[in-house]
Amino acid sequence: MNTKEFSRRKFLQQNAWAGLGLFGSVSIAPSLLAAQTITSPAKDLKKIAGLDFRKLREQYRKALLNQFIPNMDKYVVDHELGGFMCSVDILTRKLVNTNKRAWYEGRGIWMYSFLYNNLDKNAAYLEIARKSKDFILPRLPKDGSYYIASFTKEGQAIGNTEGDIYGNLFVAEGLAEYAKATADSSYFDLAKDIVLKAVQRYDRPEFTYNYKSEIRVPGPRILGHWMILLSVCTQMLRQKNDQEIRALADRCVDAIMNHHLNKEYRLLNETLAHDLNPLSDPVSTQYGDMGHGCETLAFVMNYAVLIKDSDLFNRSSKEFRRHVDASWDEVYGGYFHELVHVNNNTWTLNKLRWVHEEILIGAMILIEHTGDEWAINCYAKTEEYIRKNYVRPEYAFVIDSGDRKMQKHTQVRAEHYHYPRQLMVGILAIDRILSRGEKPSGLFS
Amino acid sequence: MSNSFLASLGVLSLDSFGSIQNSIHQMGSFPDSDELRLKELHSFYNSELFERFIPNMEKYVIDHQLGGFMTSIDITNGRQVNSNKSAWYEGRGMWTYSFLYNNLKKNPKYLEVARRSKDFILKHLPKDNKFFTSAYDKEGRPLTGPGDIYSSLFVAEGLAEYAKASGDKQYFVLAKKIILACLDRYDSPDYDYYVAYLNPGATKILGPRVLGHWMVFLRTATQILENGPDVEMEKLVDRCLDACLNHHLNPQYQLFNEVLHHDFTRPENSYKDFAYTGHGIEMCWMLHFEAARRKDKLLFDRISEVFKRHVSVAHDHVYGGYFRSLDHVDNNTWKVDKVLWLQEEVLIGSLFMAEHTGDVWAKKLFNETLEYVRQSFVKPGNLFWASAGNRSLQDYAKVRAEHYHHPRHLMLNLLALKRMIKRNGKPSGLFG
Repeated sequence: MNTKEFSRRKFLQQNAWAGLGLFGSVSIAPSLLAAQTITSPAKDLKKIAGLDFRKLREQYRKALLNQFIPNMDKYVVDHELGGFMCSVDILTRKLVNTNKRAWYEGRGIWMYSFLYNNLDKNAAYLEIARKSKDFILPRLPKDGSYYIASFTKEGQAIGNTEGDIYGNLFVAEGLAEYAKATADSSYFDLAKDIVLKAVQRYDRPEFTYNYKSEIRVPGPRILGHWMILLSVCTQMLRQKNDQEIRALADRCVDAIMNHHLNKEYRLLNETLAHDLNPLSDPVSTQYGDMGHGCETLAFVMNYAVLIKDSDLFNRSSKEFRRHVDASWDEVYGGYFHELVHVNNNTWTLNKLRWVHEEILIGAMILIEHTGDEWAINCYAKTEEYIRKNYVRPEYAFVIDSGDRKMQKHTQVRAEHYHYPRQLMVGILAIDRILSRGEKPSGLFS
Repeated sequence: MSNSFLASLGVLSLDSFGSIQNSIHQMGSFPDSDELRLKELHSFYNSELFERFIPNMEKYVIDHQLGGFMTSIDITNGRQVNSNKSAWYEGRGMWTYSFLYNNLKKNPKYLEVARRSKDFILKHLPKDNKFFTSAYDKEGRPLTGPGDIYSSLFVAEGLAEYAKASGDKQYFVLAKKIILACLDRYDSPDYDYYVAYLNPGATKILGPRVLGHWMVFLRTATQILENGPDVEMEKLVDRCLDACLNHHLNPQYQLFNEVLHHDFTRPENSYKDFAYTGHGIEMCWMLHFEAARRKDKLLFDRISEVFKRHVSVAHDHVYGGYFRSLDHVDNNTWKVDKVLWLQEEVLIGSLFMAEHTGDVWAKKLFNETLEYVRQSFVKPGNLFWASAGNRSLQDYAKVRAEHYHHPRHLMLNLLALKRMIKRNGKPSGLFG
């Protein structure tokens, strides 16, 4: 391992590609060493000219509080009946439909509660979270099954098909954060109850889920499920040291790091058999949801920070780098989200914004705690890519996804979870970095 | 690389055929380092060239009786699979042995190997403007009809180097004559060449402009220019540079397109977005060499960007190494096999950049790629490095003693390392 002092000149050299105009908007960072463990810590983050933390914080604050939140208030929040109607045309600002979803209610409760807890104790935010909570909680199935996926504006179920585990888990995530905001522990207990019941259902051998495969089998183990469970558990553990939640978080980490991580090609498989052994299905064994992979590994790093486990932090950050590097589109920039067939190198080519935001969050964890050179490069090029390709001043909300070159993009969705989460988490990380005099935390040094 | 694997490579032993099996000089593993361990690298390259490649060529490939090279051997045991010869391989072998003689060791045996190959192939020099016949049996009886442009260009490259080695200028004149005849045919609007390495069934283009052609023209002409000025070769090199940088280099995505129409416009068929990254990367170090010959820093820097771009795009982030063919850029369709020659072109290009600029990226790239090649293509017990394989190199081609790209890589990098050691590792200062 090399310990290097960062220099302004070096960083600028590495990012000079972007300025040359040769490759469009994309900087070509030296990402050829993905398979290796390379940690080049910076001792003093002030010396990194490419990341002006104060400027970045101000940019994030404005984007969050001057643009995103006012437009949420104006176009998405149902102030009368509670909840969120996210099907907004981001250009015309017109609602395309008024449906609500368990996913989006849970996410919205979380987002407004987190905002209230961490950045702005504005009672209006808490009120929005409360109304959403009041909208969705009466619709929680009593029998431990998952939420119906969608509801009308007034709360009538659309169809009678059970939704997926994520609806429940996002509501639990929202409730846990709301409990903190209101100091009402009953919501924490309810969140825990929802989580544990969701896991009970997930653990049943006959559990079904529509994963990518030639022939589906019952009782699959899904990376995305462990991912959200771990995220919710980590946040709950920050509030309260709960043994059951801790055990569940450890179980998630074991499943992710010791089972989903494919032994042959060292990428995370989305699906395993119920006993956590690899599937024999030709589609599933070669399938990697790289967006989930990057997000999951960032969550594992985050959990490692919480429990101060340097070995886990190092292992997960090494795999995070590998997944991020493998997903980068070297030709047009940005990240691919889906490796349909690993060994054939077949990727789905469209670009989803949330993947980029989760990578920013993961890179920021590395920057904050180690000053890792790779992470700084990654952050700089990803940040630049997002601002250039997904953020347009004439739109009410950021673009959700587009084609490979971002020449065509989706227009109907006010995304109110990944985007504000990255802004909020980014602001908080920057505040901690600044409070330490722009030096890495030293947690794992 | 594990210690046990390294240890196994460090032993010089004789196998049941009495051949030298493992001659790799023991060397540390520094895949993530930006430091070049010049003396260790020099030992490694020297050992690979003189203790593995040359002795095994001598024993298994060279036809000492009739002249020429029979490269179809099983690299795991030395068994000859067939005794055929080809114009490609005679030209390439002639070049290898002449270059070795000219630059690394004045051993008359090397010159004799080149001379016999020359005598073998020149008997078949076409009387008209045709290209050399592609394949021959051991005795020189043709097995096929006329070959492609490369048959003649590789013979020309070999003859030019042989002229220098032997001091006999007639071969230099003949080399030039062959090159210009090839160029004449290439410039004909009805020039017939099918770029078969995209996909079977790709629509044929009449009179195509092909990056691979410019590449071999450029390399052959620049080597001739290293011996002194030549107006016709200067003109040819200028044309190659213009074709590559102003036409084949796609302005939208900054990768070389392999095939253009005769008038340099882009085809509208499946060749439109075809970037043969193997040739692209190989072309870059040849352009770098030419920029260095001209002492043209602007050109050198521009090529550095193009080289970095191609290497980054072609890198296999999952299994390591580099892919050779981006069949469709916008669809991201790759061929996922691996060929040794491309990895070796990366090693030549990165060391050359490091030598002249001290570029940290290039040093890291070199170390990482060499480590990858040693782990993937250098199979314990084999007589030669594997020339190709599947993506992970778990399966690899066993029949071929590759005697051009591989020794070229070893020789060019050995020469670069000697220069770097002489300068105590400091950048050349060629560009100030």
